[in-house]
Amino acid sequence: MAAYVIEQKDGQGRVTLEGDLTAITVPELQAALRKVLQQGASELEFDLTRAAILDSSGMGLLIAAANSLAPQGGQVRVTNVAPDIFRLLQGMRLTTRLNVSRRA
Amino acid sequence: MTASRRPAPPALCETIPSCLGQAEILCRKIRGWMQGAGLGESCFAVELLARESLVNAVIHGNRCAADKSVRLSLRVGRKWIRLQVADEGEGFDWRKAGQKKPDATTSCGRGLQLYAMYAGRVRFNRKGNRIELWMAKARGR
Repeated sequence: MAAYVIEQKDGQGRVTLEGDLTAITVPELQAALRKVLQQGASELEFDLTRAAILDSSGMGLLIAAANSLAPQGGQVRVTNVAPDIFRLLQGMRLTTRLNVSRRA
Repeated sequence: MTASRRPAPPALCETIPSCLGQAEILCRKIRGWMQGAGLGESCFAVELLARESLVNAVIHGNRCAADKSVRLSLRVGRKWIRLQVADEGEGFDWRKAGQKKPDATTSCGRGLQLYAMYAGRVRFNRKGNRIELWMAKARGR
């Protein structure tokens, strides 16, 4: 079973993680995102509602996605982030770059 | 008078083959073990550093060689949690690697930064194929 669901509409992509974003999930998701970017998505939202942990591989994927979108003026948004993951991204100085918002 | 003996501190010791799937299974075991030991508030930091160390050991240390293994030990003391991960690889020059600081557009090389953020003490062996990390136990548990 895939560990994520990708939806696309009007140049907006939404990736809903079904669990953690870590080294084990990154390679498959990376390949899927390449296709989404080739189809012209200008904005990507990563919904981390179900993620309890994010490791450096997961961070790398988010940064790579932001880097791919930046030349066209696009951006990444990381939403519904758990408090521990938010503190981690804050410590890594990535909350602005990745437009991170906390879980309500 | 007989001296009372303290119970042995909780410990988790595992050896896994060099495979990311096995590392993932062990990380989930660590999460359950931490929660079962009443250390839920330290769980995120411990699991994160265990993940980083295991993935580094499997990919960069043992280069995913099926005949090599990775050893992990996790010991809980009164104030500290000590994580040790060792692989059978050639090691790396951690003295030089620590000098690089990734910026917000760099998509790799954050492992050492994570260690510095969550561990109070980080120690490599001379060869660079074994790491020891000490994390302060979260207060009030």
